Amino acid sequence: MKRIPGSIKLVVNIVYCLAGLFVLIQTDALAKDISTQQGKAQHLSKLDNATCLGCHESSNGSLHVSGAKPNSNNPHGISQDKLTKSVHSEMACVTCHKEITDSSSPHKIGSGPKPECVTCHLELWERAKKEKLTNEKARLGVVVRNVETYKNSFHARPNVDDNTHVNASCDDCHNTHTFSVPPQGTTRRTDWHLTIPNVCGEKCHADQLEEYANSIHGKNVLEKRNLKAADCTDCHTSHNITSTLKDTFKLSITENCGTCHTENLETYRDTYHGKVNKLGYGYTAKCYDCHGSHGILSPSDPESKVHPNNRLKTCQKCHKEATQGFVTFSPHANTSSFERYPQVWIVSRFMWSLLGAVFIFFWLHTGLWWYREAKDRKARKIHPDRRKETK
Amino acid sequence: MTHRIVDELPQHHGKQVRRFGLIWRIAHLCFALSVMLLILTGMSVFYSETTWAPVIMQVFGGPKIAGIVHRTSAAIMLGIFFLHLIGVAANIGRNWKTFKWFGPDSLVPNWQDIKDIYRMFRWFLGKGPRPVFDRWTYWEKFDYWAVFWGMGIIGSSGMMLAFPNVTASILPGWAFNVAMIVHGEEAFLAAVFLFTVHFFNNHFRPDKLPPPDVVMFTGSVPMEEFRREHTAQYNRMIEAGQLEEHLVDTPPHVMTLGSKILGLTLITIGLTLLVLVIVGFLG
Repeated sequence: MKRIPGSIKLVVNIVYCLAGLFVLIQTDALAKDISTQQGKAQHLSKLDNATCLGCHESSNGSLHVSGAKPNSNNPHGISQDKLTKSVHSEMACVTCHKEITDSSSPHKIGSGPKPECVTCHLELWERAKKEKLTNEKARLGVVVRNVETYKNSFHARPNVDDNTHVNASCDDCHNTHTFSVPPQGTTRRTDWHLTIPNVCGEKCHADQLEEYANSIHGKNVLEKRNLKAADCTDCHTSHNITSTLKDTFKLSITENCGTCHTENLETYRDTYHGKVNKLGYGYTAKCYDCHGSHGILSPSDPESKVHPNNRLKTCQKCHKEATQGFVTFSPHANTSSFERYPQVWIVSRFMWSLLGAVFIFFWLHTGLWWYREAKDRKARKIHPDRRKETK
Repeated sequence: MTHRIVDELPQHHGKQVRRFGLIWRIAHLCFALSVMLLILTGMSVFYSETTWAPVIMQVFGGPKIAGIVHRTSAAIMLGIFFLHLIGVAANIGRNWKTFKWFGPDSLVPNWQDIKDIYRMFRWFLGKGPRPVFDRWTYWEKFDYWAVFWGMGIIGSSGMMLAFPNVTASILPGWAFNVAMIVHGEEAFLAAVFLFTVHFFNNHFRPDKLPPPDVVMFTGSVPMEEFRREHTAQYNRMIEAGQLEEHLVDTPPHVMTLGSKILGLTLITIGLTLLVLVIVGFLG
């Protein structure tokens, strides 16, 4: 697939923005009339979900309330249909939106805390534990564990550019209003799973998504809907995101690749690269050092970093002086395939035979010697002179 | 009956029979220490998936430092080996005209060794008397030549891996795959052989208990032991009247004690390494 040049993308984006602005101005003007009529009535009514959705209901994602700024803090609109299907459907809006104390538009922001997920989820799990319903509500435990993992993750750290915000909070990845993980094995589950690259990529990691989309993993996930191919979370984890510069990440990434590419991890572990990695040091070649990461391609692809034509250059990233023979080194050789690795097959069998022969002979020799010498010593104790007689 | 005569000779009191000269003993000690360091650093990589290997690596301060230790030990070992070759060549050169390649003083395997192996197994099975040996038994000769094989195989494959750019400019890439296997498997063979068979033959068989046998540290053996372990050589010396030439003073108590401590230390390290290797092998 050809990539769309950045310049064309930029133009397309500007056109979209202008169009969006136009629609916004139009709807804003319309909404003003409606809201002024409704506002007075709503002001007095209860803060139940129906009241909230009276203004915030919107299946097409835009909000029909005047004065609301469509920024990230202000959801454009809530689809009632999706909300009722979400795991949070039975909750009152104001349970989370504690800062909302009136139903007028624009809201006067109260002193209550802004919505956040953690407090509530910790309480829910504590309650489940008290009620001894941890088995029935096991999923709540998973959430709590994910929260704990997340707290130590890179996403939970304050953003470098704006330290009033963390890098990513729960609702950056999980849409809290529509959140519902479909049951395993359903097509909805597949659909949900396939959104992951876009969730990570669209808001924050656009460059990586672009590269990923052209990779063998990306094409399988995004085009062929193949769930077996890796998405972001398969390599980076979902809640335990760390800096890729950290040794812990460099060590875990090989394991993460290995959960799918089991045989390759096994053969990698037979090499010095893999053994040093296993010992807890991240400086030797890891999967992505040779194969690439987001833009990984099939080894048969002429553009692949491990394609024979590109291999020496890839080796030379670390082995600066690498010579031609590096190209034909098999970093994933095994001793069981004569067809693919005949030299390794022959040599390994020779070595095993040698070891077998030496140990069989000498251990037999040792065992028998021990037995005979011990027996003779015993006899000598009883008949001290026998030794001399046998000479 | 010759041994009885010697027992009664007063001039042999306080004497032992010399078996290894000082240089050979130092060489053996350096060999032992360097091979243990090589096994420790090497097996920590070979068995990286064990729980003990990362601990050893941390003690060394990482694989890069362990690698330097490994290469330094290898250099010491190869250095001693080549010095030994020069020494042996000089020795043979000096005695070129009289040196008997297949004689009892030569380490070259001979027909007698084959006969000895056969007789030894007969004795094991209770079908014959215990054979007697000359200066070098066949298992000692095996220990000696095994080092040549080991040096050749582990040394050359190690060099290939230590200088990959040179290797890959001459040989195809599969040479690395082969060198990795050969280096590791042969090292496994060497380690397990040394710490089971070599240790048993010299320290742990019933006649040698309690360990250690200190002849490789003191250089000499008591007359009684020499007569028992190298009866043919002893008889040969008595007949030629050469025994006196090989007698040395019994090493001082402190030397024997020091040798015992050293021997036990090396045995302990060796057995510990053996346990680590077995854990790795089974794990």
